[in-house]
Amino acid sequence: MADYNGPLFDELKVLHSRRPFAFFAVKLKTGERYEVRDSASFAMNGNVIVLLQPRVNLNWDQIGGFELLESDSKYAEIVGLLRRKPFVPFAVLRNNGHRYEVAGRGRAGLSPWTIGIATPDEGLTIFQMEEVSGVEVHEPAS
Amino acid sequence: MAKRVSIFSELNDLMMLQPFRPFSIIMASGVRYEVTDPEAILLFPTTVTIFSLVRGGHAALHVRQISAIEAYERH
Repeated sequence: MADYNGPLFDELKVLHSRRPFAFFAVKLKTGERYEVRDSASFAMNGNVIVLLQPRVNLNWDQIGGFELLESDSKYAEIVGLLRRKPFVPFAVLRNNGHRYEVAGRGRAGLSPWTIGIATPDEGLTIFQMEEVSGVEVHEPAS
Repeated sequence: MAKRVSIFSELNDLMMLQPFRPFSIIMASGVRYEVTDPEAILLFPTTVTIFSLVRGGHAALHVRQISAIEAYERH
């Protein structure tokens, strides 16, 4: 069987290389869908797409398309703020009422699931991204 | 001590690269951590915290236990 190299292949290559990585769903022609939440959890070639979480082998002719997910918006927003030039300080609000100031680019690190923020005493607070209730950007006065 | 300063300095330099180049941190135990995004790592003088994009967890690494760093080109 010839390798598939049609538009879906190109679309998935673009999704794979996006930085920051954007969550997306693989939609099957049957209506089933699988969410992909990191670039290392799938592999592909001209014959199959292999999803690792859960482990599923899909043939290209099963694929109906791909769809970006909105659920990573907090992750994408914070990554965007960390990459902003010039950097503008911001605060991460946690659903327990705490707020954490991010004063510089190297003061926070995160994945789609977890965020760590350096504290003023050089400690580190780590919590789940789903606990993030909001972000406040300290825009400079114009 | 010299090794710790050197590793920290090397990591710090990699973090500053524009554009960012992915790299691997190899521990003395042989365990390897891929750093594919600059936001997935927090660097302190004695510890490095890596937020895994693969498993959703994080790992706190002591700089003294890092044996090597390998930078590579993003493809």
